[in-house]
Amino acid sequence: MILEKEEFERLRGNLMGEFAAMSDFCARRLSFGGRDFFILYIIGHASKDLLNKFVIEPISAAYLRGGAGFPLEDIVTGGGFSVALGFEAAKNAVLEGNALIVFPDMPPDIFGYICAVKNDEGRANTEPETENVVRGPHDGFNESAAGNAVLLRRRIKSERLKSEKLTLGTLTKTEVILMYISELVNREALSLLKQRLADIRADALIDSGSVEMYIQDGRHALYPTVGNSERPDKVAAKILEGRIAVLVDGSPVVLTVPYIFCEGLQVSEDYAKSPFFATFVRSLRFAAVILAVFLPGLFLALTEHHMGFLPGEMVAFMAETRKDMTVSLTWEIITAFLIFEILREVGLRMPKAVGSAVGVVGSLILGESAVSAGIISPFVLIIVAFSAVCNFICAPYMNPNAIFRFLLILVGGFFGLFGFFFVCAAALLLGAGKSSFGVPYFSPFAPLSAEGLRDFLYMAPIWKMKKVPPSVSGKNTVRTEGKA
Amino acid sequence: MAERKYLISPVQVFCFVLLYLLSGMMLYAGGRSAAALFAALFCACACVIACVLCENFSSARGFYASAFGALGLPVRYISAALTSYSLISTLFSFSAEVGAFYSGGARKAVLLACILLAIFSVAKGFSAPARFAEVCVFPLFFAVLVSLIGGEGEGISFSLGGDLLFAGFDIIGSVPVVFSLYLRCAGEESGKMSVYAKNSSFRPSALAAGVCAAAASLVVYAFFRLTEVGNIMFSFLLWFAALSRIFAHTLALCDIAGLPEAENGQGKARSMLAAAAIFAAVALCTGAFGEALKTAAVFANVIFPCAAFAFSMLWCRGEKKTNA
Repeated sequence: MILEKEEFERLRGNLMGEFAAMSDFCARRLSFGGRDFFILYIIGHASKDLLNKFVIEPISAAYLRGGAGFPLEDIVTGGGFSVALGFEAAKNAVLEGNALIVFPDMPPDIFGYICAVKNDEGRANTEPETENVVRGPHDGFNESAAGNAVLLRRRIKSERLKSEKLTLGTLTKTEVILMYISELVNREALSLLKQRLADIRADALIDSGSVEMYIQDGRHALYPTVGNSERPDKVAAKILEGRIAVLVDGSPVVLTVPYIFCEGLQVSEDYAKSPFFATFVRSLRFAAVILAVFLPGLFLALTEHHMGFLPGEMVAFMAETRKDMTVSLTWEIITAFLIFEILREVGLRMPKAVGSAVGVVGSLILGESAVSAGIISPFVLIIVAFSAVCNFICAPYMNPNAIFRFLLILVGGFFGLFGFFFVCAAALLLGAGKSSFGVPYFSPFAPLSAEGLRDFLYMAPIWKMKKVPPSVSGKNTVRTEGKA
Repeated sequence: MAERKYLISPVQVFCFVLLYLLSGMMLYAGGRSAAALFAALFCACACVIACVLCENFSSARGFYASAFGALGLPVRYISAALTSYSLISTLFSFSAEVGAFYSGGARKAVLLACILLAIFSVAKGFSAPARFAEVCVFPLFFAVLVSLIGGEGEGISFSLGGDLLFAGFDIIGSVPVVFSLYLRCAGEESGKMSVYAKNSSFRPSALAAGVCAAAASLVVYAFFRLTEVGNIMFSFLLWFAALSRIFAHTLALCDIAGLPEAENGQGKARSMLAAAAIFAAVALCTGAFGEALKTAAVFANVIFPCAAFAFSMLWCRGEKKTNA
């Protein structure tokens, strides 16, 4: 049965109706050898060059050769070619940047032929600014999910690297790609992830951050349970440990799940260094995080409530430096941290050149003036500055740590050591009960996993990490036989 | 089979027993090393007995019913009372210790905060308090290392004078806690291990975990006695150990009350009500007949494991005869 001329016109009319008031929508009517057909596409979204080269020119040449008999897939070259088996499929294909070819004599169940001519011109795969390394690859993801998937395939050239495509967001129709290795992946985590993605009811998902909000464990998590990176090498390494990568079109940040606490302390460059140095640096990172979070609150708890436990010399020195102060130590530290957080935010949002100038003005001039004016004492300035600098060492926890630190400052300042202890214990209890896609958040040390500890604070040589961490993958897979 | 979230691993049993005993030693030993030694030995024996007896059981309800038959329920109530007594005693001692850092009515606030944390800890199963105990062992390890560079401490004294026996039993607290830990332990033999534990190369047996924990607590205690570690940070670490002890009590109370097995909301509510009633009654009695209750609890703690052992042996013989 052949589609009648009127039906063809109605179909075209329907599609035209859907795309009405879209100035960038193009329905190009072509006629070769007395046969009319339409090519529907969105200008700019579909590549004009690809359209001409792989669709129009081959069809034209076929007519000129006199061999205009179809099937069309034999004529249209390059890219992808598929059949739209429904009105929605046809419409979505156009919206995704493909070209839809509609003939008057198509079979009734076919709404058009989809030619993949999407304009994939995007940003180059430059090194991400947030995850710099001295030794290691210098490429990074860009905003194309398909392109990012290719970057991962270049690193894991195996048919076992599976990928599944989803479309999320009723308006944005954001393409989301899941990538994992079938034999290594944590099956429980995979089914949980798919379930959570399927449960998303939203009209718009612009960035991977929005997807992260929907899929993370718990409704109000302060610390992340979904990892993210802009580095293909890092994401590939995580996939090889049994994790799942979630690539969201339009975002250079790729999500990885499950995510456990100790991942925040790991940097991809660690694996390119001597294990001794990597262990040393990781221990430093851990110590710095502890200091960044706990130092101001503990200092405040001791100085405001339990002065007797501090060394006499320290108390005398503090009394000397604070003799002209008009505000309490608690408010002094809170003020200092608020000023610092404002400066940090300004430094981030301003253009680079201005941002650095603001940083200099803020940290040096404002700090110096605050001390001279008696608003902040030098001792407090040292504590705040040291804690703030330490917080930068671990990027994934920088923001949650800043909030947690504020909380500890408040309870330490107002309730002393027990208030501080209570919040720490409650946080530890919450963290201990937390899991990321079924994997305990504090693994590999709670619950204890000997294999996992080889890549925690202490980093064993790569050849000694014989198994894929069972704490993540839940499997007992050997990845190396060791060193001969 | 009990739900996974109500099970703990042998490593977590180790951590619980270690912190339970250590905090007990720090709270009650009062410098008497002989009491600590006595408590550690008693606890190690209790671990062995509990491990042997609880092998085929996964909840206090099943265990008590099998071991004591018709008397199972009253014995469960007695165990709940003993555990409540020990929990209250720990709460009082801990709040008194923390309160010493403050002037005024901080003690009540500490008590309230600890009770809140204890209830909150078991709200979603036993995984959170068990992992909390695991995490607490790590800073303790560093504290031991730091204590190496400390000065000379008070030393170890094995004098047998005073209320040594009472101090020892105060340290042990409640033997049903050890039983509950073993009942909830998913060891290699039980076949209830999690997939992560199964794939780990480090899988200690439950028996070794308990006995080693008792020994380790004694070693750590001796270490702290021999070295001069009396600073506030050290106290801070021991607070975490004390909190683990409180959590162990809460876990045991939940197990004895049968909360994990309660199938519906009504059963859960009834169990919680029973546990709360026992807890409140013991709290009231502790105030009124503190000393008398203490003596009774000490004897009950001695009698309980022996009785449990004897009843279980009798039950096993009875089963064998029936089968024959």
